[in-house]
Amino acid sequence: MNCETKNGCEANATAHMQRATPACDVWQADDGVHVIAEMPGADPKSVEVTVEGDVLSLVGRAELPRPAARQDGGTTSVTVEYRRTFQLTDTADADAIEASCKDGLLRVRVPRKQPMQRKIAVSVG
Amino acid sequence: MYGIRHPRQRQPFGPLERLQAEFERGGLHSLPTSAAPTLEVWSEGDDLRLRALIPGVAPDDIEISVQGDVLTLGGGVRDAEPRAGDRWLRRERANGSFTRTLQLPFAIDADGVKARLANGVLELELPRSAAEKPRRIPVQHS
Repeated sequence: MNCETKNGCEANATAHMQRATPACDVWQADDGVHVIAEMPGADPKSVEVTVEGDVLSLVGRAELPRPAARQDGGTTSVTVEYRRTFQLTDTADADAIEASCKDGLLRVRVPRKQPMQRKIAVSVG
Repeated sequence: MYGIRHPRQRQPFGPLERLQAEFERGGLHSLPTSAAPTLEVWSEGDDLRLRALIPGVAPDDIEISVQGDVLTLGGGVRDAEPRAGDRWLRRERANGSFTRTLQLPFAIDADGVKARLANGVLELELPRSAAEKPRRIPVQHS
């Protein structure tokens, strides 16, 4: 039951908890930056998208049943925690981030801040 | 545009070696032909269970076929791909269609196969063919 170490999972993962870094596609489009993160098994209700400072965090949890042969201590499932962070730039509009989750995919769009336009009154004379 | 803090990829549910260890007796062989999904297969009683991680694959886009002791999984991901003019910043996910063929340790009762897909995880119940189940041979007294 020492698969965590063998599989390269984080050292602080327990026998019933595995931590995984989800594979992500990231691309820049006209309407902002799009992120797709793979979180197979994650219940959409467990998915959290947060921004703290300039760090965007994507977290999801999946509870998967374990094979009977690998159950120990009466545990019949393993929880996988997906976690990935991205650093936002100054042009990202953190207040307008959109996210949705379906079929084990978390989709996030980070819009670009609209450039501030300030009209300067020109005095005559 | 973004800095990735943790770029290293991990296998969330274990490499193929572990899967093969589940089948020391049966001799499982995997023949990935494309972007193969992560699989776990284990025995449960006389039958087999299979779990495939296929995030983004809709139920209508999965094909499962069983012939004897050979199981074939096929599918594809229909994503919102970047359009012309968009720029990739990071591309880690396998895309397109996949086909994966597994030779199982015994023949499967194709009519009894059950499949469930939820949140990108496909789970299969693969009952052993009745013809291959161990039979008790009565010993006749002379």
